[in-house]
Amino acid sequence: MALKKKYALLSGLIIVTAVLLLPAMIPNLGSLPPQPIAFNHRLHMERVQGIGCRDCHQLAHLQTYAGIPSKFVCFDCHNPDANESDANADAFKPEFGTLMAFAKTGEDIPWHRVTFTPEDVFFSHRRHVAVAKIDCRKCHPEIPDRTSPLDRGPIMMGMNTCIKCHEEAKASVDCVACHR
Amino acid sequence: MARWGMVIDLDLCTGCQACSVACKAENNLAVPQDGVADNGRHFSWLEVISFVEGEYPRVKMRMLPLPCMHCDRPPCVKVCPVGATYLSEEGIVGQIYNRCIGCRYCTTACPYTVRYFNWHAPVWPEPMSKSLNPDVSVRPKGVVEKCTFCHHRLMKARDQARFEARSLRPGEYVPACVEACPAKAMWFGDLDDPASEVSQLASSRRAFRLMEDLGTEPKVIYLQER
Ligand code: HEC
Ligand code: HEC
Ligand code: HEC
Ligand code: HEC
Ligand code: HEC
Repeated sequence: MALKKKYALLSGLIIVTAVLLLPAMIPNLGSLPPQPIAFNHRLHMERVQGIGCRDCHQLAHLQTYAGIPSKFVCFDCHNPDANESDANADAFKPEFGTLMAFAKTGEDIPWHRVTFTPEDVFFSHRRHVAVAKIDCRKCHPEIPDRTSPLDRGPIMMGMNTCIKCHEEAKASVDCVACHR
Repeated sequence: MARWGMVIDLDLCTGCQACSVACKAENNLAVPQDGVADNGRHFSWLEVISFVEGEYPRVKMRMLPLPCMHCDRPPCVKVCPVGATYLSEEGIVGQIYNRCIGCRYCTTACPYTVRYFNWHAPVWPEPMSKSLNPDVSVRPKGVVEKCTFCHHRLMKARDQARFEARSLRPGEYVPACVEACPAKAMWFGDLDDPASEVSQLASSRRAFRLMEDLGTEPKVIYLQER
């Protein structure tokens, strides 16, 4: 009887610790320091007529990496010389203030990356976007609905997702096509 | 599908070791710390082996650049218990580092001893640690590594070719050692393409392969007047 109780206590303890440790065991749950500007993907996709992902991520069709846009891409639409006295200065939300502050410095906006593949994996955006003509949303489904930057990461696709599509698309599943 | 291979002309080789240095820089080979070399645990993927042939007074110094042979029948692949090494469709003996458990069966099975175990975590002196090649991953302590025929260059070359909607041109994919050789004693290309330099040189009178009698069918072919 006493033994049974001990076991019950022990297993209870194990379950409690497991639940407490769960967030640490799932890598995607690690929270990140905030991005310099609370960029809103959904707002931009909805408000700007005919905007596509490539209008801002201009390298995705040309390079292996997609790249996060430089501040000069933002200034194509947001007037860097605007100030509070302008009548039509987009209501001057605090977020605009931050963007305009970057207009006055020599530095670019220090975005940090959230989406990665491990160092030993080769991934090429242009191969998938320009050659295979795959929609960005297929691999980044959460982005168009984001009203704030991804704040949990790192985001990793995982080998199963790559292989599953490669098998369907009859693309290479040779280990050294991806691993280097 | 190409079958990649290399030809090394030992009559042209001056033993300068530029290939070895180029390989180290290209593939992020660590700089050995104190005592590592003393223990015989320092390695390079492409060693230039020197040995003396003949008896005094008729001796000759020989130089032999020794990369992975990328055998068509690789003994290392047969012994790997976890499938971390395999022969790719294009004839490259691949090593998947995060699959490797470091058992070192392959280093023992390889008759050319061109597989190396990482006894130590890789380290570089200060300025060098900032100039690593981003196209090649840094291997952790505890895995086996070896020459890959610089296949990361193949990835990039093919990516460029597909982007330009054409097929890979001959000479577009060349490993760092071949590119560096100042004596022009090394060639690289498709052994299955009868028009390629390597396949023509491979059928030369001077051609031979190391330990041919083992039946490993290496894809590194040496040329030497015998
Ligand atoms: C108005 C410009 C703009 C448009 C349009 C845009 N993005 Fe972005 N994107 C950004 C900025 C700025 C960031 C960095 C801030 C963040 O993470 O939200 C970013 C971040 C990302 C990231 C995360 C990168 C990382 O690892 O940190 C992904 C993925 C992404 N965008 C995909 C898309 C996709 C897919 C689309 C089309 C549906 C799209 N973006 C449209 C500007 C844009
Ligand atoms: C086949 C899947 C796939 C498609 C299609 C795809 N991505 Fe990605 N994306 C990834 C992966 C995987 C990563 C992580 C890449 C890495 O570490 O290099 C990534 C990373 C990113 C990043 C992070 C920053 C960077 O420089 O790479 C951005 C931004 C991004 N993608 C935007 C886009 C946009 C915009 C498109 C469409 C034009 C797109 N992606 C299409 C898989 C995809
Ligand atoms: C194609 C034009 C265009 C580009 C490029 C663009 N924006 Fe915008 N942005 C808009 C529009 C339109 C709005 C909506 C304005 C509104 O309704 O208040 C907006 C709104 C915003 C807001 C206010 C969001 C909120 O929460 O209300 C911020 C912040 C912002 N953009 C930042 C950026 C940054 C940073 C970049 C560069 C990566 C950028 N924008 C690039 C068109 C653009
Ligand atoms: C289409 C590309 C692709 C191919 C082909 C591929 N891998 Fe991967 N592999 C990946 C990616 C991406 C990851 C990283 C997954 C992550 O951590 O997000 C990975 C991770 C791994 C890992 C680490 C464990 C894990 O699952 O995270 C091992 C081991 C591995 N791969 C072995 C192999 C072997 C062996 C082969 C050949 C049979 C192979 N891979 C073929 C893309 C690929
Ligand atoms: C939605 C489908 C899809 C997903 C997801 C996907 N790929 Fe691909 N990938 C393709 C297609 C299609 C091609 C063939 C492109 C072409 O025609 O050259 C390809 C080609 C490649 C190649 C070139 C292979 C070669 O033969 O040289 C690499 C490398 C690659 N993908 C890596 C990855 C990695 C790494 C991931 C996961 C992070 C991934 N892919 C996820 C569809 C996908």
